[in-house]
Amino acid sequence: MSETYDFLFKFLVIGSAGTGKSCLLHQFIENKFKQDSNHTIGVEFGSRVVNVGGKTVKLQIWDTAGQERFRSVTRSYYRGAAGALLVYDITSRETYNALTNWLTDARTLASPNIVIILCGNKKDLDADREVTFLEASRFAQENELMFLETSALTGENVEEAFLKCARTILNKIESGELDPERMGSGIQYGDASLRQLRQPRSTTAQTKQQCNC
Amino acid sequence: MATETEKDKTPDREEVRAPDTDTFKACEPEDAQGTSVASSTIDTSEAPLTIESDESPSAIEMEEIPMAKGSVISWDRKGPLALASPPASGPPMGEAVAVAGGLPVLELRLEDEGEKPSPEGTESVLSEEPEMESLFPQFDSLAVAAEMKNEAASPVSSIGTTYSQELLDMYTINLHRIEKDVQRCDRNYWYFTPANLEKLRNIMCSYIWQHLDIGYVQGMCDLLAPLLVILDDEAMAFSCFTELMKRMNQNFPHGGAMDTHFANMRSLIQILDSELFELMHQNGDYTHFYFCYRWFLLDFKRELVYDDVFAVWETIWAAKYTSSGHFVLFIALALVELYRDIILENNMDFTDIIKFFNEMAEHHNIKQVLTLARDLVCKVQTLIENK
Repeated sequence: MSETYDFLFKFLVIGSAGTGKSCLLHQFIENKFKQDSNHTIGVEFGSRVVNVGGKTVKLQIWDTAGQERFRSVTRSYYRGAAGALLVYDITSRETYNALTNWLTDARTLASPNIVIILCGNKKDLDADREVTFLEASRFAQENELMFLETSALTGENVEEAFLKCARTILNKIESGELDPERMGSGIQYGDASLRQLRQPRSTTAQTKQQCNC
Repeated sequence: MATETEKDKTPDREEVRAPDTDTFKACEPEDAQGTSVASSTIDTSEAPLTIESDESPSAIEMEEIPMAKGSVISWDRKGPLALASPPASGPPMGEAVAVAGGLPVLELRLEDEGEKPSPEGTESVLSEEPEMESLFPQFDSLAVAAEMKNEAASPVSSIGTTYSQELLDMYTINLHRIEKDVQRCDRNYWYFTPANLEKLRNIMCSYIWQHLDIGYVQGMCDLLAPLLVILDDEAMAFSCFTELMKRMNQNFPHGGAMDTHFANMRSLIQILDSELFELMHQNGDYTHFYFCYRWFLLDFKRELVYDDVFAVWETIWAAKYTSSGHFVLFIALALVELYRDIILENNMDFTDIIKFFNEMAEHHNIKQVLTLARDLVCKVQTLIENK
């Protein structure tokens, strides 16, 4: 539980229902395809420590419900996210068409500086493709997103997507473009210091409880 | 009140229902007791919650469902006929199911677009099934004049009038959403074979057709699934689901009750466990009770294995009469309290807590949880009495 790391980044996985958000997360965390996953209710959660450019980074990844009706709920998780995977399904134009809305949400509710990578998931289902690589990469370019086609089934590009996003954030920190100290940056320094900060609180809480008794 | 007239129709409903409800034998004594106690919300002194009992407390709730039909009319704003739950009445296996199953499919094929039944049409097509009108009437306002291209022999097309394109589009979108979720609903559970998933889809499509103003929202499949598993009958499951949703709708984003649940949790933890409250207060932020979100939305369905879901749901339904109408809240509180030491020892913040409970899903000791929940009801009750 107490891994050490240099940074902690808060990530979001967003996109329409059924695009494979949970499966991408599961593939990234567990290195396998989540065969019988159910639709996500509320928010689920995963974390993994990765090594990026010589730094250890803990990715704290929030997997959200895809249905629009839950946006009022999932939006509350957007705040202070440093990075996001914006997912659509290459076999569903509908999910691709919804991207603009998701993008607006992410930029307005998370942080204007949020680093977003567009993921065209279900790359393995090329026969059913409804959105071409070219079209999506143009969209990505116009909206200043990174772009990869991924497959949560085979694992292709899944790790790359998360790492690419993390690397970009790290570069921006190093270049001074992102300030981890700023409130809601979605970035925290390694947890050794953090835990020290938190520890006394619970001790005070305990003493207080004893007093109450 | 329309209650009387509606009740006139109930006899045949009762007939049909009787054999199917064997599994839910009425617990007369508890029921009677329940009614007498019903007025006091936090009364646990009698009728302890014995979850292992074969004569499960759910009997009360299940019994209530068909009987409630008459009196519930006013709840449904779509007019008196909308209330009847079609599959529960008449010859259920035959027509009712066929219609429930047939409608969505027809809607998907655009060839039938734009049909709307007239009352006479309903009679003729659905024969002795006047309640089936309830599938249609709320959309009268949206109906446009008949412009028939009806080659398809369908309950809808042969009826004579047309639905607006807007309405049909809305329904099609909903069908699409339902389809996505049905396909992945509890597919690791033995019951959900393709045939039974088809039943799940039929019921959900019928329900949404009657509640298009709400539309399909993720989570509804989770609430329907256990009912279908235990009843294994489309018509019964439809009726029970319709009843269940009357309470559960408020927890969905369109219902707005979730914040109340969070506020109640907060208050109860503050009263009963100040140490934990302190930790949550310090480590938390505006989202710190979201770890309960799924609990309240689905009555803990995703937190538990199927057998435990049945036990918990039956307890919730029975508790309304024997313990507290807010028993859901106390189960939630019990889940928190059960792991309070772990939460405190690890100094968890709200992300840790969300993660913890996500990982604990389907690993809870439900007897322990329910017992603790009951104790907590008593505890709060005592606190109020001694106040």
